[in-house]
Amino acid sequence: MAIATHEVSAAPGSRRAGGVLLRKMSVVTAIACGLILMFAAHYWAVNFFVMPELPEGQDAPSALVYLLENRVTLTTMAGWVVGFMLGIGAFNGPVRWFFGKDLSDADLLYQAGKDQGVWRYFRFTTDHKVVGIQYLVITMSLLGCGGTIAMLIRTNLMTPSSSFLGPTAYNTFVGMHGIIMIVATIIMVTGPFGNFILPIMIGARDMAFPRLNALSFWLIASVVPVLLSTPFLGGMPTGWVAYNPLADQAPPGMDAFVMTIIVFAISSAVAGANITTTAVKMRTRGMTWTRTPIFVYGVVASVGLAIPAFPAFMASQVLSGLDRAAGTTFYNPAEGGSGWLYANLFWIMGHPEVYVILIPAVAALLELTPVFCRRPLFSFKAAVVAIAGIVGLSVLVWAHHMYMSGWAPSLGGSFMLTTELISIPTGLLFLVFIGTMWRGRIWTRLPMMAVYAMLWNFVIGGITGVYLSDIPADSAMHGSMFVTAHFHYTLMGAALTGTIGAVIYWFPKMTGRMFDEKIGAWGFWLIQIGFNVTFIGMFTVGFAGQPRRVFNYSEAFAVGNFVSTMGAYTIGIGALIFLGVVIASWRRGIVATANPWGAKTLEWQVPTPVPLENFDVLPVVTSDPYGYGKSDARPPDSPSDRPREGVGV
Amino acid sequence: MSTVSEVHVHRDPPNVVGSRERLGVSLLIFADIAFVACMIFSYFYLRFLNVNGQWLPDDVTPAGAVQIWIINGILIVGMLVFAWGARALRSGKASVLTWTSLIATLAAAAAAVLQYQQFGVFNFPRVDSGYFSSAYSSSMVALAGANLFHICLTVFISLGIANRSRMGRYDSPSSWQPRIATYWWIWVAVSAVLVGLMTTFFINTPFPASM
Repeated sequence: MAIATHEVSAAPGSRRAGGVLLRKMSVVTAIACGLILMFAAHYWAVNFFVMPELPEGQDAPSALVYLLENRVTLTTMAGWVVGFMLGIGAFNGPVRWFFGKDLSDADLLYQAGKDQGVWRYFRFTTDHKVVGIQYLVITMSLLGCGGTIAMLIRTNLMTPSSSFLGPTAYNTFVGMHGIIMIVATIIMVTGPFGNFILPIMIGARDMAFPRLNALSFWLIASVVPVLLSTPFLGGMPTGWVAYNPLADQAPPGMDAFVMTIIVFAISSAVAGANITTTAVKMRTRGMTWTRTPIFVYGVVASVGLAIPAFPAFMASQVLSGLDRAAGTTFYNPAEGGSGWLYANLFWIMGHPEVYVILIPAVAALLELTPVFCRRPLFSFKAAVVAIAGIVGLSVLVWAHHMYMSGWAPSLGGSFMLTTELISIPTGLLFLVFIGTMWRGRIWTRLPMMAVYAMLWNFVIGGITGVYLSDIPADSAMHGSMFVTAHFHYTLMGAALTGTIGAVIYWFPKMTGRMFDEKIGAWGFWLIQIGFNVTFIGMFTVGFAGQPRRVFNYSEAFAVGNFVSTMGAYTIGIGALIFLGVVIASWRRGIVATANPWGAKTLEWQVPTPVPLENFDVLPVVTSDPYGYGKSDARPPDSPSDRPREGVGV
Repeated sequence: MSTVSEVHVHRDPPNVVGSRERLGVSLLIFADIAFVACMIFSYFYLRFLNVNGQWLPDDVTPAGAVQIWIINGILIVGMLVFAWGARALRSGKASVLTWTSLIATLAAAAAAVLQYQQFGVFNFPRVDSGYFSSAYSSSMVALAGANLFHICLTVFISLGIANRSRMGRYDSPSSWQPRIATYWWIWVAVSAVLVGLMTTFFINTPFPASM
């Protein structure tokens, strides 16, 4: 991308630093305030929500006891979340705005993490790069947590009659694995790279709303302990979909799920508004929409889709929480409610959510493919149209998750059609990948391996998805391990693989160190091989009729399940190696130059480490980001930070 | 990883910041619209299904429409007054915003009190187990709760604007904050009117009981 430079108005003089409280807040005060408010809320709830006086000798109705228990649990959790956010400093901005005491320049720089060293990662820091790293760490932690739970589940399923986990623990772990992985995969690209990379990529100094940026991260951080408390509160028997009215009758562990989703949906809305505004309004001069990198499109499509979709998820859980704690009957058919209401609200979010996860990961691979093929992105406009097509169709397919529920059978045909139509723009994306690689002189580095692996996995995930969108086939395979294997091929095989590619590609810019590709490749390929072994095994037992979410199963499925468990352990070993390489490379890797891949997008034109405000003077873009011509068909033999042609930051 | 020395704050001009913030807040309002749309969908969905004939059983008295429309009327007046102040600010009359936003705050506070008080006058009997006894009463409680949350947030925003206006924080070029608050006011009034229309004209279900 060729760029020139232009000056912008410099800062007015700094006002006197204020904000004494601001400088004392960190994760330590957040935990302290969270605990104080949690115990205070619990104490208040226990004394406020009391059993009404009953005639002598009459026992309290069990349902009323249940309601009071859920009220106390939800109030206690709300106390923790509010206290945590108070302690981290999330309310400083609104309170100071209210009293007309806006932050001074010194305060703003302090909030951006200036001269705070590592401690800035433990504060309400507004610098988008800090937030990006925070997201990366929390994503990897959540993936590690969800992956460990998956190992426990697979260990239980290694033999047909295993009692490694009890049935209650098994159900709870299945639900927790699902929701932890869903949360982690939703944030795994838009969080780390949408925050760290995207603003630099479009030539901006920061996100449009730096405080909202920090808010979106810390909301997630505040609610992780709530989600992890689930097993200690009786667990959740529902799986991650939390179907009602089963969820209405579940123990208080379900309240943790409800609270998590409500807070997560708020965080997603805030992040979505922030990233969309940044991409739309803050692109630097000369960066027209046709010169905007495809990764930006992918991230904006993802968060833009989340803005209308996740409130439906939130609404489904708000109503669930009201049923559990306030005594409403939205999902109780005996009192006029309906389980179909829940299913609709949930899946109106649930299917777009698949593309919220998938699109940015695929877009990240689209971004790096031209770099390693030294060719322009094949049919940039087709890629944009494909992303838009997927986004548009994804909101019209939710009922394919409900074919067999008995809801509106007459609509089945139209939902089958829209679901199958979505394979057209998806196929277009494949065409863009293959067209870009076609006759290219491919630089075979590890990020490029992720492209190959994603294409293989996504073909399998996509084609099995076409089977399941077909009502006759779905009537045989719904609720089976076949479905589980299908969506893992999509979410893990395609999206997580894409994310791994993105991590390796942008690792030098984010950490200042090169990723150790030699050992990292061992981890990467072990994950890929283990993944295919695990889920092809799962396809076979699912095709043979094994239902999902079962604690024990028939002897007929023993071999397939054993193979799947061995595959899962292989994934685990590969993931540990990969994680070890990430940590080792971050600490002691070879120091990275500014542009080790010889890429043309703006994030590679700034120094590494990236300065606090990214650009001293804002760049002006004069050409498209994928202008790799024949003159530089081969990548540099050694990492070089010399400016590319036409570059002058 | 980033370096953190020798930096200074870059500030964009008010019109640039204002344009950015308008889009951002509009997107957040859009998310809230999606949430309220889900609540309205739930209301109509359960009304149409009338599961087991329990949409509105005989022992449940519908919420009184008069109080709902009083709340809506107050909110509409508050919205108009606030919008007038924001418009006056854009034409250079900064002092008008102070008292219009104060009046709007009082209107929102009055609406909040009435909305809270409405919970007390709902005639929704509960069965002995502690549950609300119909889908209608469940939907009304949720909608009234959403309305109350909206109005409380409006009180905070309007009072903040009034206070900042009093302190001289706003002038014509930097009028984007009151303008954005006007967007919020409009949405709060519209959502309240939608709930009012539903609970006035779409109470009884036209469908027989389904299982």
